[in-house]
Amino acid sequence: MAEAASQVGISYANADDIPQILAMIRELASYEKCEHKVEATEASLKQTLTFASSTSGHTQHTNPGYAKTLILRLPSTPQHPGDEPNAVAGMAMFFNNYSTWRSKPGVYLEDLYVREKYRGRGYGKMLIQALAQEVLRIDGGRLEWSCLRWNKSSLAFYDSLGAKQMQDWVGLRLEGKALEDVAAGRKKAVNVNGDGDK
Amino acid sequence: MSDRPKIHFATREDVPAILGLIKELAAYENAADSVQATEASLSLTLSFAPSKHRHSHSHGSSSDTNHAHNTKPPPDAPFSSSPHGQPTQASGYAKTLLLRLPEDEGADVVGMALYFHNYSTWRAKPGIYLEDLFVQPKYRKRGYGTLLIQELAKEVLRIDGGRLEWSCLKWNEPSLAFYRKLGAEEMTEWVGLRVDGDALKKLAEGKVEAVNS
Repeated sequence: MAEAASQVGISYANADDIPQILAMIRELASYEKCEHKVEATEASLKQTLTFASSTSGHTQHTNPGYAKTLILRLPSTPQHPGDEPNAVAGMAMFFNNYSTWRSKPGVYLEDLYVREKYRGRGYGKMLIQALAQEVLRIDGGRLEWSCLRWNKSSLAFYDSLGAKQMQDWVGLRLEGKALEDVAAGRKKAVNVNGDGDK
Repeated sequence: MSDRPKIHFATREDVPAILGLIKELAAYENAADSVQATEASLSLTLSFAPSKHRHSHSHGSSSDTNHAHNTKPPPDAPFSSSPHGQPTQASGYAKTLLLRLPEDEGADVVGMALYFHNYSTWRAKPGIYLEDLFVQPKYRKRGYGTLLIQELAKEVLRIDGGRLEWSCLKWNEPSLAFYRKLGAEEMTEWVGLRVDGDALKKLAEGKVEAVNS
C-alpha cells in the first residue's frame, strides 16, 4: 500500500515477518517477566498464523491459520534521530470473534506490542485504530481485548479511546490437566443417576 | 436409557433450530430484544458441516467419520478450518455443535454450543472460545451441558490446542457453580474491554484523542 515517506506503515504480516514477530513475542514476554513461558518457534508460528501474500501488495490471506498480525513499520524517511528506515516498531496480533445476537464478526486483540524505544509516539493507538478499521471492513460490530485489572495506566488509555470495561463478566478457562479431565469425561458436574457428587 | 443424546456439527439445515435456541438464550439472560440475528444472517456468517455428508456420532464414540469438504475459500475469507481437515466449510466466523435428544425421545435439537477459535501467542497454539452454551430448561439436569463442554474439550485437544475459554455473567451463580465443578479457572484478575457502535466509528476515523500511549 502506498504510504507517504514520512508516515509509519501498518500492514498485514507476511511469512517473511515471522522472525520479527517471534522476537517481539519474546520481548513482550520478557517485559511481563514470563520469557520462560514462550513456547512459540518460527515453525509453530508459520503453521498457526495467517499471513498475507508476500508477493503482492494486496492483503489477500492465502493460508489457513488461527490469528493475523498487523505490523507497524517506521517511515522510509526517518522522523526521529537514530531511527532506521522501515524498521519494525510494533505489532497487533488478533483473530475474529463472533457476536451471536447480532450474527456479526468482530476483532479480538490478543497482543499489542510497541518496542520500548518507540513508545510515546502514539503507535499503540495507531495499531488499535487500524483494528477498528478492520472491524468495519469485515462488517463487524466490536473490537475487544482484555487487560489486567490492576493496570490502571493501560485502563486509562483504553478509556480515552472510548472502550468500555465489561465489569459484569468473568472469564473461565480450562487448560492442561483440567482440560484433559473434562475431555476424558472424568469431570461430572451433574450425576445423572441422582447420587451425590463425588 | 436405551439411547443416547447425539452431538454433531450444525449443517445449514439446522439454522432455524440455532436461531430458536439463540432467542431462548437471550430471553434467559433478560435480553430478548437484543437478538438481531436472522436465519439469513446466520447462514451468511456461520460455518457449517456439509449437508450431504453429515454423520452424527453418539456421545461415547471415539471415531469421527466426517470427511473434510474442500471448498476454496473466497479471497480474504475468514480462516476457520484447522489444518487437520474438519467437516466444516471455511466460510464463516463461528461453528455450532448441536445436541439432539435420543431417538426414542424424538431426536429434537435441545442444546447448542457456539464457538470460534482463539489463539495463544506464547504457545503459538489455537484454542476454543465458547461464545454461547445453552440447553433448553426442560432438559436440564441430564448432564447435557457437560456433554457439550466435553465435546469442545475433545475438539481443543484434536486441533492440538491449549485452552477452552468462555465468559459468564457474575450474577449467574448456578452457572458459575457448574463451571467450578468442571474444574474451570475463574480469570478474576482480568477485565474485558470493548469498543462498538459510535465509539468504534470514531476510533476508526481517527477522531479520538488518547491520553497517552
